[in-house]
Amino acid sequence: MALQGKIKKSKQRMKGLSKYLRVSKNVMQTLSAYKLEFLMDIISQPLYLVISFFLWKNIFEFGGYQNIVGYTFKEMIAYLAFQISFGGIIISHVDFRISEEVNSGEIIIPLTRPFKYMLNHLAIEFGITSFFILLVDLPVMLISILFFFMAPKNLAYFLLSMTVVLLGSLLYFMFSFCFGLISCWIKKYGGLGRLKTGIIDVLSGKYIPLNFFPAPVLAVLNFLPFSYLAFAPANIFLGKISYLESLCVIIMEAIWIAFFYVIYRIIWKYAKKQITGEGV
Amino acid sequence: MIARYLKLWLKYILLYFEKIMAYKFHFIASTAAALIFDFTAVLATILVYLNTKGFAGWTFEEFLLLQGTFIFVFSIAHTSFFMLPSEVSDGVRTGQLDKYITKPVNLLAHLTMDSFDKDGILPMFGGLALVVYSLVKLGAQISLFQLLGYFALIFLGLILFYSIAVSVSSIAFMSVKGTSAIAEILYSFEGFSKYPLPVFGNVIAFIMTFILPYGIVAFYPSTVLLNKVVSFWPIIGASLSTLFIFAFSLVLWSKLFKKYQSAGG
Repeated sequence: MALQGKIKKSKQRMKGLSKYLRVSKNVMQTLSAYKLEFLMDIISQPLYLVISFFLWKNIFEFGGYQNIVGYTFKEMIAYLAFQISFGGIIISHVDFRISEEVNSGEIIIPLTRPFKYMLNHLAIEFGITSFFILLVDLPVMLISILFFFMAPKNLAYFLLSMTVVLLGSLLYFMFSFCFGLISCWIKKYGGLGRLKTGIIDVLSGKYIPLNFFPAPVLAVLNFLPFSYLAFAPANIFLGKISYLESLCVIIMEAIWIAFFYVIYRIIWKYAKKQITGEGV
Repeated sequence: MIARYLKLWLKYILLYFEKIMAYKFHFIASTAAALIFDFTAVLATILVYLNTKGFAGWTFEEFLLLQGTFIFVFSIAHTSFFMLPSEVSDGVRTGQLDKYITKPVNLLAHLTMDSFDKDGILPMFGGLALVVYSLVKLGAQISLFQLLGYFALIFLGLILFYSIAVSVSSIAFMSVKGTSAIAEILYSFEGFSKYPLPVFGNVIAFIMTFILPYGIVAFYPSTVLLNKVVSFWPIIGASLSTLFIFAFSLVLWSKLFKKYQSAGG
């Protein structure tokens, strides 16, 4: 009996999971209507790498450097190529979607259905990310490997960095989700959202490795969760830090995810009361 | 006639601010966001020059002047007409374009007036401040001729950006979907206008001077101001090329507009 109950329960759970997967699938179908627009990223993203390539070549040759703050020329380009290839997987715009739902009142639709609100958005995020991996990120990765020296140090570092990317993507999602709930209180969220993205881009080391910052600033940046979204995964991929440090990164990411989950639970309790819509 | 258009433009700007002031917090946040996006490159420059000797032939202040110039030109364009393509493609998609067509004002001018965007205002002053700061730091002696040349080239840079915006908008008459895709490609070339052209090697420098003259936005004006001009030929070539692209974009606009049929007529 106990076993049967267990099977029944796991079947139910499967059913629960499949309803979220259906959400992801729907999102992918909607996105595929706009394929052409996204395909242009395959051209525009590597163009950024071409520009960076020439800039760093000039800096390295002019100064006659073998390495700058620990990066050789090839590593520097590979670092930036990694950001272009994997940045799209990590970034999450869930906050913009929440604010749209709040403004249009659509937010009550997922609330009245048997969905967990956050899991619903996680499923949407999963659909979007999978879509972009297939359409844009894979070709960009191929270009990065062929022309921009992107290669993992070894298999172990590769697997570690992929774990960090995956957790980083969850961390970005959790942070954006908490941040996006602010839109329950303010009238228009767009500006704040862009401000958040701009700040994270700089503090995560997306454009330039964080080692370029003066030591005191670097200490602060290492303490913040943002370095795990760009700086840490690229450095692990390139084998710039030890295995032990890599494991520490994974543990820290898990702690930050848990932290933002707690924050979400607290904010959500109050945010729910702010939501208004037709017939609520 | 120009006075009438200026008056109309002023009206549009005032209306725009009335609209945006309903969301004061959003106004502040999005201005700050624009400032951060535009000044990220400046931060990167500071970090690079902190750790290295920087770029060949460019001291820190000279490089800041180049970037300040770019931010200045880019922000003016951002403020006054970068929203044009999305304005046109939205107009085509929703049928709102008829609102403009039926009025006794030049369509392109009218649409341009309505594409005002406040996000560029603060970065515009920021860019100018950066240019002035670098000049003071360099203790540069500038002749009137240099100053005139600088602003003339910046003006041509604005015309280049405007031509691109007009060309992309024209495409919206044919296909609404393709517009943002083409816009993205063209805008991603902008990266070439932020940095000294010789960095990119002869081939790209040639293309960015004579064919797609992005060099005229910030690089050539800065060389004039900093006494770095090697030869005047590239500057003349880039200016002519810009004017040619401008003429081309206007022709493209009128050709494609003639083909446009709004929903219901």
